[in-house]
Amino acid sequence: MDNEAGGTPIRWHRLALLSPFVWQLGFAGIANNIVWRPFGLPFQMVWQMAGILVASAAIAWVFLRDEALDHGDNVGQP
Amino acid sequence: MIGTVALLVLLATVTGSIVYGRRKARAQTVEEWAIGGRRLGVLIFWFINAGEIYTTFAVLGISGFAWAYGAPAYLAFTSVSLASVIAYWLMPRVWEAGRRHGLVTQADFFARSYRAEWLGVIIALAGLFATVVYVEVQLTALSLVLQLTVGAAIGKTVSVVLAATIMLAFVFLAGLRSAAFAAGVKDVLMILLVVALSATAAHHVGASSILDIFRRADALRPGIGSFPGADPAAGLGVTWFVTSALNVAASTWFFPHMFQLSYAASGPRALRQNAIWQPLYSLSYFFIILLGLAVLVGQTVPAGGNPNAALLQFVAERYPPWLVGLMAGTASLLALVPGSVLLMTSGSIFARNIVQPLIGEQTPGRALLISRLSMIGFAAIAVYLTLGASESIVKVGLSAYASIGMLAPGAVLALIWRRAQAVGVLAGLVVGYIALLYPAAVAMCHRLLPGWEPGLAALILNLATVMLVSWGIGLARPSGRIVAAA
Repeated sequence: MDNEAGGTPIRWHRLALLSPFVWQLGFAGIANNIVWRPFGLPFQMVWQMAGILVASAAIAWVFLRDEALDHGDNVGQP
Repeated sequence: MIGTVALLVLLATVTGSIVYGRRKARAQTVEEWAIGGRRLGVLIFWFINAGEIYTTFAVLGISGFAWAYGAPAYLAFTSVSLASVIAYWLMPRVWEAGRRHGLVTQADFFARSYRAEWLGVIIALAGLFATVVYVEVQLTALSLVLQLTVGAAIGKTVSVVLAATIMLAFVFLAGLRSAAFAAGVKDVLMILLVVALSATAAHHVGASSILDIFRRADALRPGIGSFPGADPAAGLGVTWFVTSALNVAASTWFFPHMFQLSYAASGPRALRQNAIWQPLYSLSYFFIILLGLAVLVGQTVPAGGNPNAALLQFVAERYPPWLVGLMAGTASLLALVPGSVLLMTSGSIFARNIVQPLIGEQTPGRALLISRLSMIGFAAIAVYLTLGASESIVKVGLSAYASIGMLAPGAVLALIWRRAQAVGVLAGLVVGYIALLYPAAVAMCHRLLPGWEPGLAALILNLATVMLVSWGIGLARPSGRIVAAA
């Protein structure tokens, strides 16, 4: 799908950048009620630390997709 | 011993950074001094970014917050990851606008995007206000370190004035590249120190292991590991956490010094790569929170119950003098590096966006002189604020985030909505600041949105106002704003 500015493909893969928000904030309430303590640590703490890894992974994946598009591979794919 | 080691760390780093900065600098202009000539690559950019993120707010503030409240300190885990996601999208666009139009400050961006020099002046004033509050955070910490090193007998006033003097001395002798070098040294030192303290904390508080510290903290203050933490009456529940995290993420890049950092990178690719790696560093907050809980388990009580001093007090009580000195030296750098960047930013904003519109363009040398001299005034205001403050560093920091978040709607809309208007941005600022500062409005926010971070509510109101007013002006003047969308 193109935007109105002139044929630049909309980068749907960038929606992956929302995943850290969903992980760290969207599920914070649920994580707060889990009493299981992985490695003896509070679950909420482990959940939030995992969210940091999710953020780096999501940004890295989007970066790779962007690089591929910028170098002309897969142009036109959503 | 404590003072000698701390002074050695400080002097060695400052000397190294000044030599590094002088060797790298090619011209003494505001552009070279304040944004490194737009040539910072991924590695140096990563370090200077980390220098801005891992400040006393993070180390002394978050450990103190963990000591006082427990789980609410997890806010630190979201502060870098979510801000990096936003940086991936935002910073390359700001960089592009900066390169295309020769922008140096955040106010330049607003003035150019909205073709309104008056808006640049207003943004400059708003940015200076939040920057000075953030310098206050650094001075609070630096003065605590000085009291630890020299002795509490020197008192708060002398230690705060001395802290500001040291900060100014570093700024006058250095530039952004020097700050980047010092940031690298302090980050390496801080990681080593925090890991060393964490590895030995269990032994010092009578716990069997690191994990045992968490168990003992939970036994001492049941529920400390989940929201709302150890003090339910403080109102730091999940709603506070989510809204505060969103507000911090939305506001981080609109501090003038952070916005200005976007210009300093060598290009969009460096900025995007930095966004990938920056969050990983924030995993080190695990150790900071652990140390805060170790202070609790060890039953260390800082003087006056001041959470900002909890970690320093713990180290001073339980570790050998050479390590206390190393901690003091590193903590000084934690305050000195971001504090100096904040002062540099305020100086360049003052010279370019307040003096220049009033008395006209200056020669590069004169602009640099005005910039440097104005910093003395900003440091004095920060000293005044610090002397009157007694709150947790985290709470003062969050108020600075709330204040600077008011610039986010205008900046983002300049990039994505061609119909955004300067008058709309001004209206948004007025509504946002009223929501944030006017007591009746703040009380209404607490009543309507219990548990919310007030800054986020003010930011949403601000955004809605900018859009409504701009839309209304657009109806009356269909041509709309034609900006070089940055």
